[in-house]
Amino acid sequence: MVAEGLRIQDVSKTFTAPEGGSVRALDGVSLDVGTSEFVVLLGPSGCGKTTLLRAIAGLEDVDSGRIDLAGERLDTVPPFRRAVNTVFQSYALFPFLTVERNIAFGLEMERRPKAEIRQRVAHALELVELSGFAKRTPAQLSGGQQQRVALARALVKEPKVLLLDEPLGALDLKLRRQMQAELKRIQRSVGIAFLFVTHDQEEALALGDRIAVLNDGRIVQVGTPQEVYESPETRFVADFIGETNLLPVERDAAGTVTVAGQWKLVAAEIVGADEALVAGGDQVVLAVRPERVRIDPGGELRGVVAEAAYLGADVHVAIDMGEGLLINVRTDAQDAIPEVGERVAVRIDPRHTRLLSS
Amino acid sequence: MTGQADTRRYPGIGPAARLAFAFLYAPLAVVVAYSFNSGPIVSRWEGFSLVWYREVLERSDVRDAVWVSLRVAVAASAAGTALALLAALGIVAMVRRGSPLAVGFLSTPLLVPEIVTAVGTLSFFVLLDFERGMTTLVLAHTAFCIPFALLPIRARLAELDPAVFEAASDLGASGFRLFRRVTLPLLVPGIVSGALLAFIISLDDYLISAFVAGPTSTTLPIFLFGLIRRGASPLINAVSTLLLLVTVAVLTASYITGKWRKPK
Repeated sequence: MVAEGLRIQDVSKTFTAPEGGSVRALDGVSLDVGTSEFVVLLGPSGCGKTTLLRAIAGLEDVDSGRIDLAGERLDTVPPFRRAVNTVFQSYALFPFLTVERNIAFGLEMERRPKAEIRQRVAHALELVELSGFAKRTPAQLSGGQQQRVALARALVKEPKVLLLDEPLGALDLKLRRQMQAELKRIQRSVGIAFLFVTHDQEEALALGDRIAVLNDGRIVQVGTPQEVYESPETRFVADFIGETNLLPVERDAAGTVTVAGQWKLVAAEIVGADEALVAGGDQVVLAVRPERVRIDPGGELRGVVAEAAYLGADVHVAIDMGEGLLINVRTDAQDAIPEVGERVAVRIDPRHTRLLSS
Repeated sequence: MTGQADTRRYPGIGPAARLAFAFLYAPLAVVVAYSFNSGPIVSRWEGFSLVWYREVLERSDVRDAVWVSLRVAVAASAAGTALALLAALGIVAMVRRGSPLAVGFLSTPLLVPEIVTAVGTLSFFVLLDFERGMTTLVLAHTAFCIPFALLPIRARLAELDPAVFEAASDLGASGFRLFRRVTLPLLVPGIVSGALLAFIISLDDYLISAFVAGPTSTTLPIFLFGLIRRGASPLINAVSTLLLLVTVAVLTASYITGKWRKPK
């Protein structure tokens, strides 16, 4: 039991649409966030990740379940008294206040002494590297700078958890990368727990100490970036995070499985085989990442090169295994690039594959 | 080429538009032009003069009427705008709870025939045994100012990012402090624009004023109507021109403030 951090237990929330239908946005969600942990909520749009964030902030009531912060019940406290702060997707800066006054707002609400406010605002401006911009108004700032103000405005309150709702969504790719690194640096230096919502799996892998993958209002897997990438527990996770080959699998009574009709191997060699075969019956697939597939003349699977694209750092090859099945392969750009139409064999190490029920 | 551009090129559109403009503005042009007539007869031009403007400034009955109108307009637009602001915030809460009626109830007075409102307001005051005078004028004007002041305030509210209010709450603001520190500053352009619009509506009103005013509270429009019944005089043109000037100036200000600091 983590008494220190944020504890979400069995939280559910249903929205009623104006037309009368209802949407189950959160369906029995449980999650623990440690005191200085960077946790990413990852999922497709409409999976409930933003609703969960808003429930923690107090901007949305929950139907059932409870949320505790540092051992005290949080979900019954009004939003303006919660020790959590939010960085909104639209930044939601006050357009009529300068950068400095925007950041001071939360401390003024706490009725802090003027000297303390001045000192903490200056420190927050330094943290987000906007010291020269104190007197500007939000309209005079670029998107990236506005985003830093929103971050400073929330962080200056020293919340126990900082909630970030797709804060980098509006930035271009280069600025996004730069802000990711910056967020990581800031999180380490302030030591506050960050709960970060995104639909971008690359961003999730780059930022999270742990990633919670959501789908249809449920958390489907929680783990470190390596765990969710290397060991996806469901077909959804394997498919949503990164590129994955999902190969059809048949099995026989002797405990042997046949992949793509060509490659026979003992089921026990594959990670996750037991659960998948029990849960999925015959409906199982073998998941393998393109970079884990090797083009190798001695390989077990044979096909014809359908596509070969040079991408700079690496090469993407699609191999037609017959019957409409393609295996995607990523190889080093220094290797020989196979010709389209060439017959090749590929080798897959069973240790880098997972059997998943589909 | 778009269809819209094509329609504008139809033969006859240009002259028709010019005719419509002439129809709209010719009476105003006559009023303004004849306010500078040196002679006493409205229908005969005798030369340029500012004599009627001097008379406007010198006549105490004109001054009294202007003074009554200004006091009523200031009081009614202030009170009406304050009530409209509360109504606008109430509508937000009601719409959030799913009530489509709120907006309708507050906007209907814009469409009700003014004579009905005038008769209703008068009956109301008679029923309550109010003596007709400044108080009844201000009360009646406040009532019909509300829907007008509401228009720009609601427009402003609609274009604001609702997340700004959530951010304020998230940062620890609640209740009156949330209103004073965030809601009010965000709505200032709408409030100013609404107040100016209400001011003009009050200043120009004749019908309702005529029903509820007492003998000692003659507004400028009532005074002008009284004058014209005793025969048209260039004095009326001069007063009307000044009233037109004030109206255009205030409405321009209302339009400009409504566009202030438009959020992106």
